[in-house]
Amino acid sequence: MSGENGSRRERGQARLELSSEFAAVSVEVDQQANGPRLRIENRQNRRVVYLDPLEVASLTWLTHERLGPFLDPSQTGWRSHDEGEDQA
Amino acid sequence: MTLSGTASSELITDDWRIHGSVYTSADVFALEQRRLFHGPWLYVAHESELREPGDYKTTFAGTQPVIVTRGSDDGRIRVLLNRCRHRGAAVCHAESGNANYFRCPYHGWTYRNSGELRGITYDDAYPELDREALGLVALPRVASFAGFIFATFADAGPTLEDYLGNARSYLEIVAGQGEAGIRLTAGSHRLAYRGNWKLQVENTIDNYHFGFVHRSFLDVLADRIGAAPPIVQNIMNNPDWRTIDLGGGHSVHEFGDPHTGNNQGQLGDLPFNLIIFPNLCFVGAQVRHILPKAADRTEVRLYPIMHEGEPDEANAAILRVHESFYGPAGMGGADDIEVAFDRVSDGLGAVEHDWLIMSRGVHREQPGENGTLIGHAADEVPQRAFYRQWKRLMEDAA
Amino acid sequence: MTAEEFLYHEAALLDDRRFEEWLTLFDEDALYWIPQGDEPDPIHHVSIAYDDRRRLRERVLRLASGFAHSQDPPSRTCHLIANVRTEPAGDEELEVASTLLVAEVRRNVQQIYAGHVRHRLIAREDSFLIRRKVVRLVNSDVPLGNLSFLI
Repeated sequence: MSGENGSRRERGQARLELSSEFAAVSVEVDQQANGPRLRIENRQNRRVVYLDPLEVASLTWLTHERLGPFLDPSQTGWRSHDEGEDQA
Repeated sequence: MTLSGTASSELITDDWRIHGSVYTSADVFALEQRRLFHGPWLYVAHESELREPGDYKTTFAGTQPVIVTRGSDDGRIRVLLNRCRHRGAAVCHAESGNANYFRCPYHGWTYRNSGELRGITYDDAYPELDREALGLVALPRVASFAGFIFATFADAGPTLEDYLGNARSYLEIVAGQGEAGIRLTAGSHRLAYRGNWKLQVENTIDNYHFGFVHRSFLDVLADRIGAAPPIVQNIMNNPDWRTIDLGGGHSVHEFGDPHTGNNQGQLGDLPFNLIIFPNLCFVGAQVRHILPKAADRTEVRLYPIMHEGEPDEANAAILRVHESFYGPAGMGGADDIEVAFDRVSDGLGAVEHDWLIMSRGVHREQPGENGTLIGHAADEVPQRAFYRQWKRLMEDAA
Repeated sequence: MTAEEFLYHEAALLDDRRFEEWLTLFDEDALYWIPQGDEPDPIHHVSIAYDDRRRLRERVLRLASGFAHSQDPPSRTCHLIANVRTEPAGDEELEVASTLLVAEVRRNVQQIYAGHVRHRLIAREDSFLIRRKVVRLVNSDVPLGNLSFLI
């Protein structure tokens, strides 16, 4: 659904890379939509998510504990029985 | 509900006299909001205005402010009343944006962009609150045809395709204007005038006025192309230029072949003028969305139609042609505002004899295919098409 | 003539409705632009006016035709120019920034338009030619009425 449409919507100016021995992520401001979004790409599995500014602001309420479900590999990517789902 | 004293069937007679209160009465306006802007399918947006998940646009369904959103996860288009369920504040005030959640500025109530109430600040003050029943109110049916998105307040009724009827093929032609389709990404002219919204509908599909109101623009065209443009002769004499009542209140004015017609010889102009009942028009190279505000106050949005798959220069040229005629500084549109809106609104003050006539060419309408009615280019077939449907809806003992 | 005096001269021609003379102030390659909205980009976004010299001439032609209903009667205008700041811009060119307030009266209604204006002027004899004039109206994206007078 995204892509060039001829109007002046360039990709974000700076792409930020964040990596460790466990993960590699790139983050940039996307201008393809009606308003700016944060584009987050997991470089390891190419999964991408777009967050609007309110969603990004809400992340500042996170505790690392509440983030737990997203770090549980049985919930995200490493499941025995699902066919056709992205692998982490 | 009937109007005080005068049934709407008495406002438009069988011999096509129209009572001036159709344009000036606050009661008629209020009844129109309930009958014309409630059941029928109402245009709200074009798909190109909402390409990405989370994209939204604010607009109006009749006089009601709405948010048109593309769902974050499911990509579905929804149309929501732009009104917080708590104390009624408009939740979104930007004309467009991208947001997967909306937070009301008044007390922070937060909604998914699909409408569901996600949460309330300090919610311990509500011992029992049915959150599921407090989402932003959604119009029950939303549908898209040829990229044009419509919604209706009615739970049941004809599908959008059935509603559009004979107008469908014309919408498909509009959607196919560019090499790879069309998009509405060039912004919009915004007009406001003192006068009824139906004056703009009528003026859009009236060709009889061209040689009179736009006489000065004909001089400009003659200077531009080096010869007197044949538009007025075509309107008065060309048998291939026709007005058509498409049924359902819709109408079209063809300039010859509906695939290749062009009335002014100008780049980018559509091959016909088209009205989709009640308030969506296609004219020149634009989508025209008419926003009724009060019996004597109207706003209009003009969205130039850009061609996908064509170079910037081509689309910029379409914008330049559009700007020369249309918009507040347009050399054609300004004369419509002056004559068809301002001076008509002035004249309608003379209520001692409050009848107008809309019978031009009624004796020479010819039946066409699929229940259509065909007339001469300068006849008032499209106006009668509109008011036939207007009468049907206003008289309905709902 | 200073650039500031030139701006006053241009405004006087408009207020006096001496449009043919006003047109001669513009260079052959001139551009007269009234953007619409906050992020105006005339290639991808509609403008209120984006006139080359030819289009400007068409406007003047139309106003002289005797059939321009939207200017019959013609608008009476009063242009007020302030905050004039001039800086050189290359060979014999000047970039002039100013603010504009126009009171426009027509058919018993007075409207006020205000905006930020930029002129690109070329020195010519003891006066100037306008290469580019941009009028950023503060109400450019508010629903407007009849803006068919020359601003």
